[in-house]
Amino acid sequence: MMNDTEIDNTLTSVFRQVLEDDTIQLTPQTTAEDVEGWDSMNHIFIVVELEKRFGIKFQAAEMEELKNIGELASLVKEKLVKKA
Amino acid sequence: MIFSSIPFIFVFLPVSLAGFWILANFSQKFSSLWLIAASIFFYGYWRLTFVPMLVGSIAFNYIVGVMLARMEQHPRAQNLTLFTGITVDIAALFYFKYAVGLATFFGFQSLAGTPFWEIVLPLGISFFTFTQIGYLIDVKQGVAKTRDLLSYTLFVTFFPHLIAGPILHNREMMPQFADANTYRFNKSNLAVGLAIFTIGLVKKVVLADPLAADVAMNFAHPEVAGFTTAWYAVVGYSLQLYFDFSGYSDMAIGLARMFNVRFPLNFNSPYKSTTMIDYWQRFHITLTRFITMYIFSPIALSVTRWRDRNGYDNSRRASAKPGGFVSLIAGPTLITMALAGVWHGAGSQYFIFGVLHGTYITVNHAARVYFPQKKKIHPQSLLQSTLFHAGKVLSVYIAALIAFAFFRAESTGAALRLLMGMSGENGFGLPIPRTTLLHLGILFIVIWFAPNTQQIMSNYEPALGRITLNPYNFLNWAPSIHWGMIAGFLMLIGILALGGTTEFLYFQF
Repeated sequence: MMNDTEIDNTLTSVFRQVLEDDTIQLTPQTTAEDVEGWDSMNHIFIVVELEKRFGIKFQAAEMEELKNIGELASLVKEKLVKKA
Repeated sequence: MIFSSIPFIFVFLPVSLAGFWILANFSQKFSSLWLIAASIFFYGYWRLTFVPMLVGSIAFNYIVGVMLARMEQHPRAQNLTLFTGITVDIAALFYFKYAVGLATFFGFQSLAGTPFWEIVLPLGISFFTFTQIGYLIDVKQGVAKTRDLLSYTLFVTFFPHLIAGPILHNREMMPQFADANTYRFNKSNLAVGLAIFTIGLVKKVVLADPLAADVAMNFAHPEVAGFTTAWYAVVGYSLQLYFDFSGYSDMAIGLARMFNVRFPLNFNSPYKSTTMIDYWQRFHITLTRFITMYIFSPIALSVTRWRDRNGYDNSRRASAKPGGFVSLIAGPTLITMALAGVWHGAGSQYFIFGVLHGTYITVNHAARVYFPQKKKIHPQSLLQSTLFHAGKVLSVYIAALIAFAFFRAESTGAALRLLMGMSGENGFGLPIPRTTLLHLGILFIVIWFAPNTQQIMSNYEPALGRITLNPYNFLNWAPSIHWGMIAGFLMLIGILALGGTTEFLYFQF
């Protein structure tokens, strides 16, 4: 089971990879408005990449509800706990 | 019962509010029951025969919801139940809404005169069907938690949203209905709610309704519409719809607020949009949210997963390649918008309306993918940037106008004839009277330059969702004598203008 830092690092790495921008820095308060290119389309790429990296699966309704990185990270954690 | 009517404003609303507060002294449950009874009365006031349909739909979906929750450990049975539930909902909607239209299309005119031909569309069926389908999916996906019958029924029937939205999510309403504060008399919420309701009433009866007669006349004879008449038809309709629907949405938000409930924003100055994607995030917001969540995202998600499994790249760059663009963006967008169009009605004109908007959005996405921000022109002066901005707003508005020709027309043929008229095919047409032009001009000033309802009310959390601040400080509503007088005066004008009121345009959907 990953710890919080590892989850955060993986999140950052996925965002950087999908949005092709190595300068992206994420905090729990970061929202879609703060990250250039994080639109609904790229959000789906990010979600699918996260599914692959963490071995989890998101529901469409869940991913629409996320307000910021903090909520995304806790959703990932919740799913990892369920999986374990 | 229509929000903009004497019986509603002077009898139904005060009685339902008073009963709600008085009964809350005894028990929240009594208050909820009262509100459900009032809402069903509100619904049955049009036609009593619609009530069994509404009650039946609630009972059916509630039972399916309970079954879905119990099957949490059996995904397969759960999927089958969800599929069956949604199929029955859609079949009912289909029967009432599309059966006659399709029969006409396929030449079954012989059925005319039979009871089948006389099917009457139950009010609000598209809205309460969507609300409940969303609930079923949410239960299945584990995001809808509250499941008792009373709260569920209150959530679906609550009269401010029952007939024409906003399309609500279970999880944004249930915590509010569960909160004890909702059942306490709150004079601040009453004042804020009344102010929002009043603005909506004025939009509807003073700004939208006077346009109705001319719009109806011009759309009735598209074959003779000259250039000016055809443009006046669609422009007039775009303004009528704008003030009708934003007025309705304000009134719904205001009414809910009087009951201490906050609704999500449904309308946010769409004609101020600078892109088509932006437009749909401002026009009928809760419908866009619904179709994004339950149609677009699941399609896009499964396409992306499929691409991933088959070794295709999923990234910004991938969506710029032709195959990526079509499968990830254009396809899901067109399918979603076509369905959104058809949701409004049976005719092919609604389908075309949806496909047109799907095309606009796809073009918008293409512009974003192929011409990213960095390569765009950056205006040098204030004048340049103002002109640039105005140009974008105007092009979005005109694109929307063309789609409105289909949205309002009796048929696709009629819409095409009207577009021919707009192109000048039928000559110049009759000159538009100066008073009419002045009237339209004033409405455009309100649309493009005035703050919207939620901006005016922005200090009092008028709705769920992000509210942009009011650029004009002096136009910020406050509970003061001065604003009380303005609201009272507007209410008076609204009530005096009630005589010529017509049904809300979105009641037909």
